[in-house]
Amino acid sequence: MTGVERDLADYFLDAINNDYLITVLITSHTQGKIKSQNLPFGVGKTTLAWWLNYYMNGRDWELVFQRSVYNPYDLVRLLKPGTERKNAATWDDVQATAPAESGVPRALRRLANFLTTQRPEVACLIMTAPNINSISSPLRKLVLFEVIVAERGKYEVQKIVYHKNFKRPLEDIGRLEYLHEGEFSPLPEYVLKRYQEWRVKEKLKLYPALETEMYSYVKMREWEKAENIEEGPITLQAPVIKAGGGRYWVQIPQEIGEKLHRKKVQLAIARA
Amino acid sequence: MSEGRKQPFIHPFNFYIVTYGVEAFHKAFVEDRYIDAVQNLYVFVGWLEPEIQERLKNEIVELEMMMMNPRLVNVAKLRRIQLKVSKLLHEAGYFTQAKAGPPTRIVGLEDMAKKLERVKT
Repeated sequence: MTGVERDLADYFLDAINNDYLITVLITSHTQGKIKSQNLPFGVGKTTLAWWLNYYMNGRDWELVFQRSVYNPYDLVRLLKPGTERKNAATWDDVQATAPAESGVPRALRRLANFLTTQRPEVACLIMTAPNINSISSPLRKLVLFEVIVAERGKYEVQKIVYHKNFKRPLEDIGRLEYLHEGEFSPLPEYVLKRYQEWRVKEKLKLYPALETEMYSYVKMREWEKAENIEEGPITLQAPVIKAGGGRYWVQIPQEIGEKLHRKKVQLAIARA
Repeated sequence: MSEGRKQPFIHPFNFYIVTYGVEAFHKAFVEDRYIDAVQNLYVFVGWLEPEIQERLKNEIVELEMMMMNPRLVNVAKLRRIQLKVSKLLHEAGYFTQAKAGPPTRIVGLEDMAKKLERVKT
């Protein structure tokens, strides 16, 4: 099928049956054609993502759970080369683990490159984030469709197309092309309950690293207040890294390291 | 970002109307630079199509008078001329394309689900 009659399902079918990769981002903190509530959270992005995943994975909620991830590490594991091809996979809350920031981490750049070569392992990757600008730039460039959830149960599909800029041939101009709009219902009660448990579990995976980072951050702020080391020692948690040559390093935050560079310090070490 | 990069597919005349007519007048007006607004409107009207200029001939004279004697500049008068220019531009259809959004097309999740029944699992 060609031309404007195509809807998102046609593109999904093409991807599944003809070995394409379609990347969809579901957002809500933005507005397209439909007047939007413009809310970042709680509007139903994940609900829609899971419905799409459900219909593409043979209406099997078990498969939806298996093929939904919350962090890029689990995504890479899900798409391990040589594993069976999945019709759809969902990456929820991309901004939580791959946010837009200056200086994109190398791991995320590699992930974006990896995804472009992973057509055999997945046909449709559905991501959710409040806004397209809240996700890491290399992932943003993979997005072919933006589905905007204007309010609970209402969505519109916009295709991201590029036009040549004839004055500047190396700078294509991105545009949104309205495809269609529609409605969706809430998840079944038992799926919603299981989803909520899944989400808590997934967030808990990220929590220890966040807690450690916050601990170091707060300690670092205390350090900034007490500029003089004579005012007392600080306590922080830091990883120990093997440096080669039988030596090990203790990695401390940059802000503290800068102040102590080439100075001698006294360390009291304990297992965290 | 240059203007050309922002507006690559808009016809130069529409681009001129928006940038040098609407935006420049708006800026001068809200900043209380009424004499600048008069000059801007006067030059701008000079580039409109002859039929519109013909219908604005009294207003063009008024603008000339205000330019020659700034004491005649009057917000109400300026506003009246602005409204008339805007009305004529709308009548001539310069903003028709911008006003027409894409036609609504409803394809609900259930419709997509029916199509997706054909997927290989």
